[in-house]
This record gives sequence, C-alpha cells and structure tokens, in this order.
Amino acid sequence: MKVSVKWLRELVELDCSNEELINALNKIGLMVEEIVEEEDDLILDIETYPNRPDTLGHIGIAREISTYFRTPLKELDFPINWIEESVENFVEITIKDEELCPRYVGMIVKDIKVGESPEWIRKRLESLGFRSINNIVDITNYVLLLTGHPIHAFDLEKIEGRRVIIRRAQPGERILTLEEKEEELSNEMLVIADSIKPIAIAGVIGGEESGIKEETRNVLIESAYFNPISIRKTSKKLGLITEASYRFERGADIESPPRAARIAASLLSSFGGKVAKGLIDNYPNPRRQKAIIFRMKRAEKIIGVPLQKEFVEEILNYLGCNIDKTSQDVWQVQPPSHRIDLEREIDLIEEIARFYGYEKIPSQLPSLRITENPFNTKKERIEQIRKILISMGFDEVINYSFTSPDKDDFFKNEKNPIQLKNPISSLFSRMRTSLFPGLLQNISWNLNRGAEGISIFEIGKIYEWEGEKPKEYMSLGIVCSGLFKERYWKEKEKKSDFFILKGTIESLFEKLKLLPFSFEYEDCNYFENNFSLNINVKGEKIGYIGLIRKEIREAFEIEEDVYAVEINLESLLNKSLPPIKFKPFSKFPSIVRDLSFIIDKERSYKEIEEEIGKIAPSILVKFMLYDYYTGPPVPPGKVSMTIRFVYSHPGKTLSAEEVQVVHNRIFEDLRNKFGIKLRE
Amino acid sequence: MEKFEKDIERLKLLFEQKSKTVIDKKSFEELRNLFLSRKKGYVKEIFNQIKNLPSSQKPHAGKLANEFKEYIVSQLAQIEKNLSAIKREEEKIDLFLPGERRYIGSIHPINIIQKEIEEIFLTMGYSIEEGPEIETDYYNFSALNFPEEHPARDMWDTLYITDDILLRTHTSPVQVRVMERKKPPIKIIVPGRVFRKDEPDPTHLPMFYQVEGLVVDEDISFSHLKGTLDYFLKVLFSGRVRTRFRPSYFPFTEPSAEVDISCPICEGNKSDCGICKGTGWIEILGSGMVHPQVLKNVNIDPEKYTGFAFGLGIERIAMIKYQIPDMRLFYENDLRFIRQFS
Ligand SMILES: [Zn+2]
Repeated sequence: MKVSVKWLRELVELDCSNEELINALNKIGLMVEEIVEEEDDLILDIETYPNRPDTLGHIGIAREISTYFRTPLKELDFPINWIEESVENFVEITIKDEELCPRYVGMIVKDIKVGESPEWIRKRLESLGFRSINNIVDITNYVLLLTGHPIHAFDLEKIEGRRVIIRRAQPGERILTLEEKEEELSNEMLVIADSIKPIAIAGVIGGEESGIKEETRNVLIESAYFNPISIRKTSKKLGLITEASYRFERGADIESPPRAARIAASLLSSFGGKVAKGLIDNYPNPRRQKAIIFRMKRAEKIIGVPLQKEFVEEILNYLGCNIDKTSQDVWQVQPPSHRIDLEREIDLIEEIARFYGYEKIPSQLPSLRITENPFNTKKERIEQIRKILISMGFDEVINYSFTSPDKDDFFKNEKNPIQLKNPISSLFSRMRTSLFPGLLQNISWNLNRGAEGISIFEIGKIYEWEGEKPKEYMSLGIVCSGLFKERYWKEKEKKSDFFILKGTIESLFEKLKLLPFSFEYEDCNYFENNFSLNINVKGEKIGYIGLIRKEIREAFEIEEDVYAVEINLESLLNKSLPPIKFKPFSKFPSIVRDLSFIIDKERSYKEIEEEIGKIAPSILVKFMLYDYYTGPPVPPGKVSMTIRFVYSHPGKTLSAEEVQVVHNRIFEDLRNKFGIKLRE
Repeated sequence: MEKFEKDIERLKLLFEQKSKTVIDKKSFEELRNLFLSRKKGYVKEIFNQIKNLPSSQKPHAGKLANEFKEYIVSQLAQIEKNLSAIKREEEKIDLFLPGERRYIGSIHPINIIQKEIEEIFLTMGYSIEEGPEIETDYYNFSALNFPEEHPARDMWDTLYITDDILLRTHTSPVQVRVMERKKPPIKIIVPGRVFRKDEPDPTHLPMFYQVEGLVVDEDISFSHLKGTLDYFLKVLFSGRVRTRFRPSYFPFTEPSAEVDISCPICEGNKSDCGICKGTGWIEILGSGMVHPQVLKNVNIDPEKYTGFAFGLGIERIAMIKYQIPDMRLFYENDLRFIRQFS
C-alpha cells in the first residue's frame, strides 16, 4: 500500500521528522519497504496484512500513527452543496440479496461538468500509483485512498428506469466492463442492475455503458458493503483483482458507506456539483459489534511483562475501542467497526504488545522441562548413511520433488504417479516416483559442464498413489558415471563401474549392520538386460542395482555409462538391529592359504561363495576372491580364480598339517561340486 | 654325501656370482627367490635331497643344510642393507610430489545448515519431528486458523494435487499433527521440504526447506519466544548478530512477529550490500504466540497452556552464511557448488 506522508500529516497532528515517522511505522508492524522522495512529498510503500483492511486507506494508517504517538486525529470537514430535491426523486434502490449485500448507500450529484481533475488531485493519485481519468472517477479513487472504502460512480442517465437492483446475476447474463472486456456472469455473482441488465459486477468492476463519460452530467454515488467471500469468489472466477475487490474481499467497514459517500459528494460539490438532499441507506439488519472480555492478567501472561492499566486503556481508546470496566482487571471492550480483525481477547493483547513495543519485551529462556526421548532413530540412521557415503567419495545432491512425466516414465514401473493440478510448468508437473530422473539430470548437467566423472547420491522422498491415498517414502539413490577417481600420477585412472557401486552398498550395509544381504539377477526395464540385480536385506527386496539403459541415458544427453542403485529406505530404516555385542577374537596367529583353480565360466561366484559358506569349517574365519582372470592362457569358456582362505583357532596355534587337511577338504568339495581344476 | 656337500659349495659360488649382479630391488628379489623360494628355491632343493640320503648321514646333512640356509639369509640381509644405502644416496625421491589424497564427498549445504540448526535446538531439549509433504487442506490451512475463502490463503501460492490434497506450503501441519498426538509440554522442531507455486528466480523456488519450532507449556510467554530466538540466532551466526522483532501477521499465531537480524556481512556499513540491500537488517524468521484457536483445534486448553512457534527458511540462512547470491544454485547440483561447503 502506497502512502503519502504529506497526506498523513494532513490527517494527524505530528511533530516528528519523517525518519521518526518511518521508524514508528516499522515498530508497529507497518513495514516500510520502499521510500520514494518526491518534490514536496515522501511516498512510502507499506507492507499490509490480509487481516487489516483498515490499513488500506490513509485514515487507517493515520490512526495507527496517532495511537503510536498518542496524538489525536484531526477533525476533517467535508461541506456539501445540497439542493432541495430529495435523492429519492432520482433513483430507487432495492437489495434483493441481503446476505451478499448487507448495506447499500446511494447519493445523487447533479450538474457536474466532467473534465480533468485539479492538479493536486492528479498528482496525489499518480504518486500513489493511480492513473488520473476524469474528475469524477478520480474522486472515487481519492475517497478510496483516503478512507480505504471503495465507492463507485454511475452515470445516472444510463440507469434504465432509474432503478438500481442489487441481485445475483442470471445465468447467461454478460457485461462489458470498464476494462472493455466482456465477462460472462454466473448465478453466484452479485451484480448491480438497472431494470433491464447488469450495470456493474458488485464490488469488483463497473460496466462500461454506465461509466462516467465526457457527456455525463448527473451521477449516482454507490457506497456499499459486500460480502467478502462472495467478492473473493467472483474475483477469482473472473481472474480479476481490482482495488475494490482487493478491499472488499478482506472485509470493508460496514459503518463506512454513508461517510465515504458524503466525502465523495462534498468533493464533487467543490467541482460545482449539486447534491440531492439526503442519502439512500439500505441497511436492513444493522450489525452489532460484540464486546470482548479482556483480562489484564491474561495479557501479562501472554506478553510476559507487567502492564500499567492506564497504558492499556489509553492504547485501546486511541484505537477506537470503548471500554466498559466490569472490574479492575476484567473489562468489556467494544472494538470499532473498522477493526474487523478484533474479535477475541488475543486480538486485543496483540494490539497492546504492538504498542508496548516488541523491543521493550525482555528476552528470557523458558525453563527446560524434560519432554521425552529426543532421539530420532530414523534421522540418526539417515545421517549415518550420509556420512558413510561421503566418506566413500560420493557427493550429496538434492533435487526437486517434482519432475517431468516423460523423464519419470522411464523409471515408474507399475507405480501410479501423482500429478499436480496446477504445476508451474510441465517440467515440474509430476511428483517423482524415483530419484533417478533427478540424479540423471545431475549427471548430465555436470558432465556437460566439464566434469570428468560424477558420483552422487540423494536421500529424499518419492511418491505414488496407493489407492485413493498419496503415499510418500524415503528413498536412497546412488549413481556414478565417468571417472570415479581423478588420475593420480602413481597409478592409472579409475573409471566408474558396476562393482564400485555394488561395493559401495555392500560396505554401507556392513557398516549399518544390515546383515545378511544378498543379490539376485532380475531384469528391470530401466537397466540393460542381464545387467541388473535386485537387493535383499534380511530377506526383503529393497531395491535394484544395474547399468542404465543406453536409450535412457541418451534421453538425458549422457554419453558415458551410468551405474545406478535405488533403495527403499523406509523398509530399510524400519529393520530392527540387534544390539552390538563384543565377540572375542583369537589370540593365536592365523594361517593364510590360497586356492588357485580353473572353473567353468557358467558358474557364478555366488555359487562358490554359498558352497564354501555351507561347509564352512570352524577354523575358517574369512575367505575372499583374490584373483579373477579370463583369456589366454586360460582356455575359452573357463575362468581362473584364486580364493584366499584365512584359518585361525580361538584356543591354539594351528599346525600346517591341520590347516592343510581342512583346506584340502574345501578343495575336494569344490571339485566334486563344480569340477574345478587346480592351476599350475 | 659327497655330491651333497659339493652341491652346497657350488650353490655358494653361484650365490656369490649372482650377488654381484644385484643392482636394484628387482634383481635382489630375483636372487632371493632363486635361493629362498618356498617351492623351488635352491635352499629348498638342498633340504629335499636330505630325505634321499641314508639315515646315518641325515643329521650331518641337516646341519650342513641349515648352515647353508643361514649363510644365504645373512648374506641376503647384508646385500639388502647395502642396496638401500646406495639407493638413498643415489636416487633422492622428490617428496614434493603430490600425496595420494582420498576424495571425501560433500554434504549438500542445505543438510549442513539443517544439521547445525537441529543441534542448537537439541541442546536446548527440543526433539525433532517430521511429517508428510503431501498434506490435506485441513492440516495445511483450516487447522491453522486460516479462514475459509480468506485472502490469508493467498499469502502463499499453493500447489494442488486435488481440491483437498496439496503440497504443504509450510511445515506447520506437522505442529498440528504432533499436538493431536501429544500433550504438553511440547518442545519440537520440524525440518522439511515445503512447496509454493513460485517460478524459480534468484530469491524464489517452488520447493525449499524450512525448520519450524513449537513450544507449548504452562506459562509460555512472548518473552520466552524472544529469548529463544535471540539465543538461537546468536549461536547460529556465531554471536555476530543483533535481532529485531517486528509485529506481523500469521493466521496461526498471535501476537505475531517477524524477526530481522543485523547484517553479519556488512553490519549496516555498506549501502550496496548484496545481502541486506544496504538496510543493515535481514528478514529471517516468522514467529508468534500459538493462536488459541489452533490449540483448541487440537484439544489443548488455551487457558491452561500457551505456546510459541517460529519458522525459517534454510536456503535463506545458507545464502546469508555463505553469501550465495542465487537460490537456484541449491538445486542445480553443480559439483563446483556442492563441494564448497564441507
Ligand atoms: Zn549488509
């Protein structure tokens, strides 16, 4: 809301500097966001709030200032040039819908010459962001800026039958508005009509036909109160926000219409207008402002400071409240009609706090009462995952929760995706069903900007419909592409590959003690054939790992292979973990034996691993794949493997012979099972 | 036996010859393998011969074999020692060559700041709560005292899924969910993603992170709100800031306050400061006393209990702390950005 400091000073007696004035406004919550210096004025752009329509006019702001400085508002005089003929002789006003229009005031001003406004009005309007149109329209805007109450002027001669009917629009009715746009009206919209047709959309915009033109001589001033919800709905439906609708939807002052009309009539008088006697005031059910019970103790409790009764009384009086003291500490407070936000005791307490000054309220810490176990296990585990992954060289990213459907479709599988009804664009129109669209985007972005490799992860929610209900769950996505490690002068550069990623999650599960875990071949439509595994932890399938299909990465403009894994964290984090218990280890030296053999390529390491696990002699503490080789001199269809076995006994030093017996047994078993041949 | 002794002599000679050709680590290893390899080294061969000798000669042969082995081992040790002495003298390694660094990844700056904020409140006895990102109109608006069809709902543009289901515009719905579940005293913070229908630009994003706090107990006053936020902001900005509380409006708090901090970058001394725009103050936080109607909505007696709530944007804090000029950088995920903060 733009405010003229000069105008404010006309409304309230102030002996402070402009700087002090701005400071005061800021302190009471009317934040000055912009200051424009003009020739003989200062224009302030003030932040206002949706619950304070009273601050949408200069009088409202002046009232706040007057309360802050405890100086009264000036009495304003608006003389009117009355004629004998009564207003009722010119027009008849009927409210057909009292719910949508509880009050309608009309005045008639005759014999005005339409023309340019005097300079002082033009200047004032223009510096407050209004275009000067003609003296009559300018006056309506001037009244709006002064009182905050929107009024409208009709050309009386264009009102068919001199009858004004406030009613709902009939289906199919249309009106050409002052913005020269034809609007189609519907039954929930309130219109101002004459005996034939709508002449304005109530509280939103006037009709072009009944508007003020050069030839206009006689004017009907409309000053009404319209139902805020109805105005809001109409304005939304038409996609039309006007100075009037903006104020009416916030709630105007129902006691304001007669005064606003009179001010307009007075100003029009000063241009030679003659005002028909009286005013038509249709106000079938006058509203009664309810009194609020106010307790000093409660105010002190909420604000946290002791309060002086005199101070509280003074503030409330300046704000326009009437106080009826039931007792010393409990008052009945009647707020003024323009403060529609003052409905409860807490609203009054806020006013006291505001004018007491937030800066004077002391800072104290509340006592530290134990609430409950503040430990959030799920969060701690996520934190742990994050730390493990960065320690392994992965960077963390965060992507938007929404993505474009064409990218998401690659990964959605059978999920039923959630679409936004009013997205900011199609690129952000679907709640992601996977973290991959974002992660692939990140790979593309970075590789196409000079990065040689990228290894990243994201922990975030993915979404889908579960029947009628939206479902969201935590997911972990890890991807790598291009160089995994920068080249070091002592060794060759290391490219991302499947086993780096697989090892990453194996280490992660081990560190998180999510054991046992295992993998199975399973094709997945976004991974290359025979290049994906599902992941099982404690017997539950929680995700997939593999090589992203070429067509998909190409759709993201990625030239390098992309290895990717996505894990459902929700089920992972819900797994209970056994408490950690110390296990003793052997004090005696361990013995290492390697087994080098040739085996059919068809055999997978998983089979060998499981077989060794099955026979697992008690002294075998660990085994690992030590070497893996195909190609000459290994015959085609075969691979050469070396497995290293570590033997140890908890209670003694093992002899070479003892170990050899066990080691041979393992060899025999593998030979019988898989036909392995010892390598020379 | 004679052959056995001769073999030993011959091998000693061979060793001496060969040892002269040792010039580096590689040739040294070759020599050691030749004699000491467990499978087919000459020493092993000598020991293997013992078992073919008549048993009367075995003890003597064993002794000779052991002496031979000791000789070879001690000679090798001597050669190795000389070798490394020569090497140190002749090949000085350039120790200024780059060391082998391990790459450690970076945590996203949002999570760094979020964690910092959480830690401050954890030490003050708060617990951390989370809730759904897809919410109903009831939790996002109605329960928080937003009147139906009121312009207060336009304070934020909302992204809708259906007429009733939406993306939460703030983490406040979690406050309601927690208060439905628990009775006071309540002391929580709620971090999480929130959504607005805003086009991305340097200061707006359709998605960002918030942390909200809520305290409900007997005798909680505005003064406690001030103290808590004063303390929090001082710790977060390492004591370098002053705070300013200004009256504001939120439907779910009353009295409400906007909190500004003094600019930690220019301290109000630069008229062209990019962070505070020369005003010396930065708007950082919204807060207020929990509206009695919100307490009523969750069946907490507002006469007995009072509370305060506050909320702040994590991106905004990060932008101030790290002097990041453009909010969009957070979700472009350029590694040159991500890697700067941890
Ligand atoms: Zn600054």
